[in-house]
Amino acid sequence: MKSNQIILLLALLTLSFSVKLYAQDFNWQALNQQSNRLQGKLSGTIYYLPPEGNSQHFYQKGWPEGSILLEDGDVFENVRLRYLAYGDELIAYNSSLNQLFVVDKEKVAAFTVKLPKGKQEFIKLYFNGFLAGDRYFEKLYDGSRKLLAFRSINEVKTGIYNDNKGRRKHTVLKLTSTYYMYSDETGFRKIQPRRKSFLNLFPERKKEVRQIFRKNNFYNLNEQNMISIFTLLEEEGFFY
Amino acid sequence: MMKIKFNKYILTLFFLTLIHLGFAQTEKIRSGLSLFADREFCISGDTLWFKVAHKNGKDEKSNIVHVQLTNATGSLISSAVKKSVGGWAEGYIYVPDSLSSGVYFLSAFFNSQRTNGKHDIQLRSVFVYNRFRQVISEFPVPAKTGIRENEYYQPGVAIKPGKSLFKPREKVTADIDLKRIKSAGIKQVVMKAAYLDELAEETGGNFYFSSFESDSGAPPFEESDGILISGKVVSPVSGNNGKNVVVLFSLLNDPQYFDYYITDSHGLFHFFLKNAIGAGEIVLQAISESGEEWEVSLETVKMDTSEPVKLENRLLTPGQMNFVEEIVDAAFYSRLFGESYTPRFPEFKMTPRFKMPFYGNPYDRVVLSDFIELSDFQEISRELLHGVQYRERGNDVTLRMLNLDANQYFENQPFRLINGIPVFRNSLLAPMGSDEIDYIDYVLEDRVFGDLRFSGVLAVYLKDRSNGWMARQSNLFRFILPLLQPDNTPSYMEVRPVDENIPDLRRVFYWQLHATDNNLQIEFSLSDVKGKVKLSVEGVTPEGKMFNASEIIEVK
Repeated sequence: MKSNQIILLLALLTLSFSVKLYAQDFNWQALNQQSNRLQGKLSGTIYYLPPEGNSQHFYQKGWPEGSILLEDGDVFENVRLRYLAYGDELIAYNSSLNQLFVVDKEKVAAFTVKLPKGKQEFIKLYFNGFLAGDRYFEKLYDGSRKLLAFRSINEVKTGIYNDNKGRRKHTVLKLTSTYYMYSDETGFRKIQPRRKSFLNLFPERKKEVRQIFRKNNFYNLNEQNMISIFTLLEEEGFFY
Repeated sequence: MMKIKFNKYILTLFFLTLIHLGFAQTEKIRSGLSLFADREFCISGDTLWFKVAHKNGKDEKSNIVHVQLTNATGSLISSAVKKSVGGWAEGYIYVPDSLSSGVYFLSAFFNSQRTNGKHDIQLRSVFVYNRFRQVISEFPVPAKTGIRENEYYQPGVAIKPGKSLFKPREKVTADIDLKRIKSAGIKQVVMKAAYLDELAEETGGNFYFSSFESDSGAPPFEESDGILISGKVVSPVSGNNGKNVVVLFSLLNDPQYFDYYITDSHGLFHFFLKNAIGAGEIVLQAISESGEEWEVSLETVKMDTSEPVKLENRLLTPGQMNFVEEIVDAAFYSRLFGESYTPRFPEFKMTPRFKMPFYGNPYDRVVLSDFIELSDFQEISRELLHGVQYRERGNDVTLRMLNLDANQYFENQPFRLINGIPVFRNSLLAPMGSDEIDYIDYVLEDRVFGDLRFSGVLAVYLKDRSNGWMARQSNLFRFILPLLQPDNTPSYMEVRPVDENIPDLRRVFYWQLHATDNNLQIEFSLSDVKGKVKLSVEGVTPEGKMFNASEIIEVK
């Protein structure tokens, strides 16, 4: 083989190697015109769904569509997403990559999940209480004071039992909701779905609050009642 | 009988033509932009100030106004991009030093209007006198073709400067009655006092032309708070357009910013840079699955008109020739005495969209100066980058990163960046040691950015940000781009102490936007330049009609 042939062969080998280097850096099947979004891109970390995750770790069933509002005002519509209550994260589906990913919490301002019975609105706020940090809260009432619910799925200790796969366990995953009254000025005030908790919110106006409860037959409080109470409190000027 | 039939045909044809003309006129869309300039004439090298009033149509959200200076045939001379606030975009445009004497035109448009039907574009004439050529005997002026429309609306404004004859440097106080303007629903007016060029006054003004619909392939995207950067990818070998090529966008001014675009069948790409002010330095690289080398070029954003402005040569009178000579002289002396200028490339500023870099929060940031001197990247990765695997086999270097979530090493190499620019050859990193590298961010996660997936991220930041290493990678294209123009005010509007020993050669004395709430009183001092000064009130009605009222005083 002549020396210039060897040089040519080496050059070709180098070129093919560099081609390979460029090519392997991208998943070319995922990249097309639909990948172009001028306003910005959604970013995050790939989420590896654990075996029991799909049925037990999320607040919603299935993968409903929703929208994500980022801190810079950019809105991503029609994204398949779910709130991961077991870890307080927003998980979205990237159809081009065919991957689930944890949306960067620092970038998210709010998100909405569209469900057949209505929509669930979540906002991200900095929680300055125990385990301080950014958290997603479901917005149940939005007025001059917000009624927020922090949905979390936690492991709760139980007696020893065998799960559906025959594994011996002593914990179960349970969804708990913690409610807060919130405004930028007052911050978070924890509320329980009990009459006493509402009375404690307005110590000077306990009589009026009692009257609202009595007039509207609010005895055993549920989430719907709490929303109604907030509406009435707003109308009666309790929040000013 | 035949005659009646024939007349009927003619009448039908006549009406059909009228209907057609009616429709043809409605096809053109008003641009919704009204441009005002601080002077009708200038000397090459001047900074020309503009104000553009705009009214968005239904569903329009553009607030980024492009202003361009073109010659009569439509060639671009200079341009500026300004964000409008409260319906007004106020900025400046450079008139190049070497620009030859002639009539030029300022026009304003939204980027989306270039590809979105034909629009009525206002061209405002600017008479430019080259500062190196004093003797001019003839001058090309716009031919009277019936397209000149100076004023649509008669505002009935009275400008009262008190007297008509002033001395150089004398203070002028003018009262302006804005009652009628206010009653017409006009909220703001542009008040101007500038030296008058009789030739520009007689033959210049506003000219209206239909825009030429561009086939630049820009997406149906309205610029709001940011600027669209468009360009094309072509093969340097075959000249073919690069289809489905990934164009990577890096911003040297902010290495933590990144974007990408997949080109269309014409090889076109677009990036939107939000809230970026000043001169930006960008690096683009085009990568395709085949590994072919690509050439990247940027598109010049320009609005073309359907026809050029017709000019005719006008012989100047001795008085006009004398005027040109005097103002060119004045421009020379004003430069000599250090008139302040606006910076050509203003400093880059961009509010970061998010607190975190595009690649997410790093697992660790290693600042090299905190450790002992390490000679190359292999030593650095072994000693300091936990979870980063550096393998060298012959001349081949591979990098792998630990995926913390999956607790195993990634199969693919990480997304590697040097000063925010993606690199694909590890040989660029290999010789870099503590002496070159400032710090390293690395992410041990499987990251998603749009439709790109990174098997970890390794971001190397060098001490030297001049990016000399780029010479070793062939497919990197570096551009300096004027982005959004920062806010600035003309130097002649600044209050300066009077120094009698320094000549005052200003040609524009007053240029400000005023609310029509109350009647106006303006004050300004004249310069040493003698001649006629025009005081004018300009603006636009809520219906988009421009108006202009003026009063002329003389400085002797």
